[in-house]
Amino acid sequence: MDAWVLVTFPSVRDVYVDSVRFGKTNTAFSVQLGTHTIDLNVPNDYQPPQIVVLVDGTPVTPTVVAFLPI
Amino acid sequence: MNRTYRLLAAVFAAVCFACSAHYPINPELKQAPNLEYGYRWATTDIPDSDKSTFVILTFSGGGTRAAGFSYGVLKKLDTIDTKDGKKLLDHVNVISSVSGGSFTSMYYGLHGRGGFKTFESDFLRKDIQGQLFHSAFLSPNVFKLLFSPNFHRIDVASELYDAVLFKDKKFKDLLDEQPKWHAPLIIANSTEIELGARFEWTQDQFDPICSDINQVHVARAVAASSAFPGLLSPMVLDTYRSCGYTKPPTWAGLARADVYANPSRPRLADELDGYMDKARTHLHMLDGGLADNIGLRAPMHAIISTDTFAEPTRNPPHTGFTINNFLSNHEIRRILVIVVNSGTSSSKVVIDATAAEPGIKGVIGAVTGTPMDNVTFDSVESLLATFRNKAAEQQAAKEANRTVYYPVILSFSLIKDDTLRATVNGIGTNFSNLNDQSFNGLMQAAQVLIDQDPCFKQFMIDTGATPVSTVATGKCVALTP
Repeated sequence: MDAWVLVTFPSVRDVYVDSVRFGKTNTAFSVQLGTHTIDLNVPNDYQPPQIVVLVDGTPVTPTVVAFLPI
Repeated sequence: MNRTYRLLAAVFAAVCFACSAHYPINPELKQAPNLEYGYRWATTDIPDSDKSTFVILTFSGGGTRAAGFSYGVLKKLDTIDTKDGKKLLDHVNVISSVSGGSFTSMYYGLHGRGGFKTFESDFLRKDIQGQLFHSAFLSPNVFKLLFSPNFHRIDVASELYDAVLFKDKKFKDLLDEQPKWHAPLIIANSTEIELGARFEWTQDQFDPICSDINQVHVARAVAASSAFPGLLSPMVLDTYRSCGYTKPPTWAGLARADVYANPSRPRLADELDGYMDKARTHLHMLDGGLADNIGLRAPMHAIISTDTFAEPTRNPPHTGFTINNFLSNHEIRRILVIVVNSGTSSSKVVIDATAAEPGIKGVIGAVTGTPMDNVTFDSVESLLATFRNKAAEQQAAKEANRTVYYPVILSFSLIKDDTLRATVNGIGTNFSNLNDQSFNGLMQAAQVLIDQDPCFKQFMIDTGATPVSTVATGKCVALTP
């Protein structure tokens, strides 16, 4: 079962889901439906360090996960 | 008198020797599990290679019939030219197999197309079942089976497969061979009977039991994968707890919350807990067909999930066996999954033709066959639904880059020619040698079924492979959201 997530950050950065590199920031992509740990590639100039979230979005209304620059 | 004593001493010595017979123990992993060691997805060159076109084969169970049919499919793929000057066979990335199909997959992983001739002569055309009977009951093995509690019928089978086909090759040999010709990852599947779980013979699966798959004979995997209940005993694996695999990967903790959102995730976490349970000092393996008789579940899991028993690393970037991320970010642009199902179907009414109580053979056949057939149906249905959903989601997301999903199901019931269908359906589920009619029928079935499949034809057209079949009609409906 797929679910869609949109990870936002001011710049384009690789996104890791459960430590596996998936997509890029600011572009929605699909992951397995469920609870995941999401974070970004280095440098660690963002907060929070990681976000645990239930990803259950659709392609049209993805689950939005927001990281902010430090 | 002396002669009697000598005879008694000889018998005593023979019994002692037989008593001490032991199944080959799978060795302990002498280091902490890491993704750069052992036969697994991450140690092949596949994750770092061009994955734009990704090909997966799954080989079902069905004795020599399955081994022959899957062999026919490999040979057919070796006749198809791809745009890069290679054969389609060269582009196969993963083969997941069960039971009879595991003979073909493992032998191919070890020898490539160079092993085609010998596979035919050393296995398909040999009466392995007769040799198995001889090895178990008409050789010194009979004393081992009688007097040793640690040597079982499955160990006789494993020794025989080593002698006639695999020549003591180990998973280390399979791993060494892989980069030489960009061989596919071979996943032989068996079933852990107490957990009721599918067991993949790769280091990803061996990590939680702290065992080193590299030192295991591939014949052991094939024997376990084809250990049909009743005829063969379960294969025993030893478990160890000393390698430092003390906590599950991070996803497993989070997945506990997904009981309603996605129940397959906590189920896999429970399965992992089972393998890590210190009370489980051994595992017992039976035929992979009990959990999945077409070998589709391992690649399906890799398609839909990144949850594996191996904790991913970022530098270097390694994971357990998954391609879910490569599909999501479109590093894989086209994925072809060919399900090679050697299951037989018969419309002949036997049990229901009379009011008589069915014989024990009929009842056992129903008890074992019905659940397996239902799981097979569910697996295929799940593959088709997953591919259609993915196509629909890409369209809904208005993605510029899209991955195209091609499912190809090769099943005897789809053979249109009555005579050919009857021929292949009539081949028994055993390890007897294939006669000319059976062998040629299976080769022809592989060709016909591939040629008539509309999704395979579409894949050929889209990738510029030749020759494109003129037989296939209709469109590949799975591609249409």
